[in-house]
Amino acid sequence: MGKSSKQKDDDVVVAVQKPKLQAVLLADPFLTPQQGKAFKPLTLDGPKMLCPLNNMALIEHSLDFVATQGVEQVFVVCTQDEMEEYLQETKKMVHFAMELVVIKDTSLTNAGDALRELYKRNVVQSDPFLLLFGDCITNMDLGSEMHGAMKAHLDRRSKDSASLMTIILKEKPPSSPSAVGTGPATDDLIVGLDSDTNRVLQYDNDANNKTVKMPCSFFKVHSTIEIRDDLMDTGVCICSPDVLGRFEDEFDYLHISQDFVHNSVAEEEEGLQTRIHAHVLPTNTYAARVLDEATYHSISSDLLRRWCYPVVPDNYHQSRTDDANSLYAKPRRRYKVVSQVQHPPQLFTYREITHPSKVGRNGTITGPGMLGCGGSIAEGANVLASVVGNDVYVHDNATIQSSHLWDNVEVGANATIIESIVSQDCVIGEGALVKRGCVLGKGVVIGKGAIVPEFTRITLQEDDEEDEFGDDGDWGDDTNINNGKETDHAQSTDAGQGNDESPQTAVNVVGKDGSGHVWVYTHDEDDESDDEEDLVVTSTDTMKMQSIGYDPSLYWSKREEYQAEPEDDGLSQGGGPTEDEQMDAHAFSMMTDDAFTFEDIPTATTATPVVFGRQKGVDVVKEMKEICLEFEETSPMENLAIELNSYKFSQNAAYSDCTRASTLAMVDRLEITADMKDGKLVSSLKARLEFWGPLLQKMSIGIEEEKSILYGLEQVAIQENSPVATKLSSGLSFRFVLQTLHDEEVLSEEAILSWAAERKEEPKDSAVGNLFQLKSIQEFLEWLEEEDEEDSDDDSDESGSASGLTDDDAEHSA
Amino acid sequence: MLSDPLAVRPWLFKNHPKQLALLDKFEVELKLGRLSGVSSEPGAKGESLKSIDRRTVAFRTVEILKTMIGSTRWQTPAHLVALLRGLGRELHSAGGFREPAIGNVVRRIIAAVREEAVMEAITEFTSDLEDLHKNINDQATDHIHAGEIVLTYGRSKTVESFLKAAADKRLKFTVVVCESAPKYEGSEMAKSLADCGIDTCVIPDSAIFCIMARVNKVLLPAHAVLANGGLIAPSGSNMVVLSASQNSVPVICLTGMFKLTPIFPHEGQDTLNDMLCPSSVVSMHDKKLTLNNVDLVNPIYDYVRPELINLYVTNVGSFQPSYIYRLLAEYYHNDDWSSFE
Repeated sequence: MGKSSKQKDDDVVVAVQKPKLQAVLLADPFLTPQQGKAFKPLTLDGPKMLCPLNNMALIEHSLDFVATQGVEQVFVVCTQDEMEEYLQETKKMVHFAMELVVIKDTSLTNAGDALRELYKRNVVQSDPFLLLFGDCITNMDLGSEMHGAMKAHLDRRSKDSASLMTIILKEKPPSSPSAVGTGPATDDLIVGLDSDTNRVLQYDNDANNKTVKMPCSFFKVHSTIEIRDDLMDTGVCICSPDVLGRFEDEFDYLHISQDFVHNSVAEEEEGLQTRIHAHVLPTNTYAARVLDEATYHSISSDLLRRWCYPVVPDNYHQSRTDDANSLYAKPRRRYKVVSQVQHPPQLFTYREITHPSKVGRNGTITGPGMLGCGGSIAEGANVLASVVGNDVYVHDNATIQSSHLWDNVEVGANATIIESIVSQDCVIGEGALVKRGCVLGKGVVIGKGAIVPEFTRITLQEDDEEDEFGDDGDWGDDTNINNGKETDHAQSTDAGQGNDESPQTAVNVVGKDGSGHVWVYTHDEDDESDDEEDLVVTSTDTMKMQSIGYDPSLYWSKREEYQAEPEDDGLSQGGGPTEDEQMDAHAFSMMTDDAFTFEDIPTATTATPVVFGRQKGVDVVKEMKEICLEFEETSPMENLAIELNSYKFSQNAAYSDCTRASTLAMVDRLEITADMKDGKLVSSLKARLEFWGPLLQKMSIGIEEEKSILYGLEQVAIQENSPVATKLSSGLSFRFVLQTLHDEEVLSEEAILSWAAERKEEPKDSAVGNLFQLKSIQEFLEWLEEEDEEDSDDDSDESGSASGLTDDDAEHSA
Repeated sequence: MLSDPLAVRPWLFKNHPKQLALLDKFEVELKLGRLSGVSSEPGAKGESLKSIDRRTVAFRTVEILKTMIGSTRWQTPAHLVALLRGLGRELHSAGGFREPAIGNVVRRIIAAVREEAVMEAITEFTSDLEDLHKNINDQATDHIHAGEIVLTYGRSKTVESFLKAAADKRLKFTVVVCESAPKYEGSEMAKSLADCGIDTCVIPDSAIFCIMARVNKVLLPAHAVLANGGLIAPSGSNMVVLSASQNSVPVICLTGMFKLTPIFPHEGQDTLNDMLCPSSVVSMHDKKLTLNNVDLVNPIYDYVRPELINLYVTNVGSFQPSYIYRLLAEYYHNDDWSSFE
């Protein structure tokens, strides 16, 4: 038994060198379509993971988390230069117990690419490793080999090598923007779980879906299935390195949850399943992701209110500074809780330790809030429940409420900022008013007395995407936007030609002496949900929902209504489209290639069974055989595997079709003639197997695929009027082919015996039966059975290649 | 050469990166509160309740200091003092500010360096810690008498073994355990005592005042004993002590000398206490939380004024709060009194 002994060897290797625990941190948001354009336009100024959350960059929060999980080496995957520079700097300072490896590749556009890149570099070896997004804020403890989620994962993995992943989920808080640990308002996750094993059977996060489907077969296998809508994804998972390999195989997967988890758990066929389990965190554990402005705000407040203890501001550490020497002069602890009881009470207020910002005598600071270093809060200024960065100057009688001021901001006298994010280097002029839900990008200047309306996003940067879609913006035309950037005092009033709903133009938003232009939220054109007439939200709604201070309950009720409507795609209606139409529609949704037009294809007349999701009239095995034959054996086998795999997906074929087709191709290549010697046959088969053997092994994920190899051989052997068939169905030839495939570990005993059991039922006068009843084959099977018994009797005999016949024997008998 | 305590980190980074990695690992544990049992993590909770031993953190600190002293290249005692002060600062800012015992260990070892007897001091300190319970328990019969009703608050290994030691002497007495919300460690404590055959009764915290009239003695655990003789103890302790003083019930605090901290209460306003996660008071998913502007505060310790404590029973004998300043002078050098902030 070649296969099992090989596996055992692998186990021994793993046991000998226990690799250190590794983590992969995705330091780029890699947004899914559902997450939309959250955090724009702030991300135009710099990487999202460098945005400060409570005066500490997001990436540092997640690095801290990773360090607490006992990770010894962390790979940070990023796409921007700034991020790389920052990390190189950080590398010198943070956790010496953890090695930080920066992987930068500007070509990465999605999480799938990032994982494929890691696969190529072959650096992730620890099984399991942690995979997480850089915007996760949590105090979870994943445990170790001894306890917790990590142990559970390892136990499952040791029993079942297809258990590749454990996703960490958390119960949703009640639907309210002020609840603790909220997710994005647009989140609509449906998870199906096996109650006994916690295996994930359903993962769907599309608010536009009215129904979710689950294969009936799941109900036969799993005794209890929970369908839950009260869970949210924490963006953290425990993975086996094989997951990276899966992404390499499925090269069209873009997102981890959307594609990989969603598709893996929907797989019905046992042999193809990648089993994913869930770990639902206890309710007293905090976990949330900073996905948009609204979650940014609520997480900031949760941290200040200490819901994520021990991840609290008084535990934040100085980890980097521009001046390496000054780092050591300061204590590493950065903030302390201000405990004076004043009126109003300063609960959950944190101040920088060394050079706290000065606060004027009548200045009011209320919690939950934070004050950075170096700046000042002038007399009579009110900083209410806000986070204030370093070197921020707030002048007399200004009011800042529930807002986030990043570093180097200046707020003029009598100005007011409500529920907004003001990023670095912004200046708010005297008496200006920034209404709720606004976002001001880096360096934006709001002029004296200007009034910024609710939910406005202002930036100095040009949005690449915006140039393409700028025309359909609600705010005015391109010229207006471009002029805004120039801080143009001379900008004429006629620049504003917005519609009635939003008459603000750049100049009257930022004021005469201001600079910056309004960023307009546009949906991607190719976002398919855009085409649907009954789209739940408009793009402006989406933007508002992602902003601070918006009450999403209206959206929630709208969504509920929408999802409650009966589905009208025909499936639920009696007189709907015919089966064929449905099939075509389905096939169409799977094909992205415009070359296919379905009207031209004649109705199915071939004997090919109709398979859901496959073009009609296509013989997949034949097609794949062609693919195989076109392939040069000198090229790497992996390339062919990828080609076959992608064809398999496009036609919803199975791996067994692949193995069958490859077998046919291989036999074709053998160029068997009727008078070929058996010895020659065996040796040329062996030569071919150098290429095809690994391919067949790779695709044989279970016994069914191996049996398909046998079916393929049979198919060739029973062809009429073919020299190959004449050769194979006579004498000992077929037996030698089986023997060789078995010796080369392509066919396992189980597969051959299971095939034999099937063939015993076959009538003796059929072609297949005839072949099977050949004396030589029966002898071989008898020998194999004996061998099998011996094997199980005496486990110490591990030598899998101990066969009854050697090459010499074959030569001889020929 | 290292002369400035502030430069410890770069010095270690340059000369001893391996030791720095050890220090960092220890700091992570401190930061998470894993050593002190205040961790809110679910994994640690169930197990740590049984095994919270305040000495763990002291043992670990001694261990790491020993490694540092033994394996780094310092040349003169002055260098060593600078190194130790620097380490004290590091540990303090890494969460040590919540664990006064850490600073105390560092101070004691610095004092030993000044007297040029480091290794002996470390050995002596470790054996002190090991024999701590035995030395305190030897005094059990002096304080607990047959037929008494003793009230205790929270859960503490020291108090627990003290009571068990008294029960071993065939004394019959009753223990009233307060449930000690929101950690509810009292019920664990009561179970452990009852398992040893001690007559035990659990009361809700709201019943403390009304039962106090029948109590003969209050036994309290300590988190830290301050320079003025005041006590830092689990939150709720002050309420117990106030009602005891109202009823003239004597209050005895059981503590090891490693908790003796040369800090006055006014110096440690933000460091002698900590606010825990509110989720042990109100569930994160509680609907009530959806009302904004509700602040939930969950402090872990209380400060008890020295005049409300009658006696400290320690591993080196029993002292009144007014005597604490003498002990400080004995244990620490004058120059090391300052905080590591």
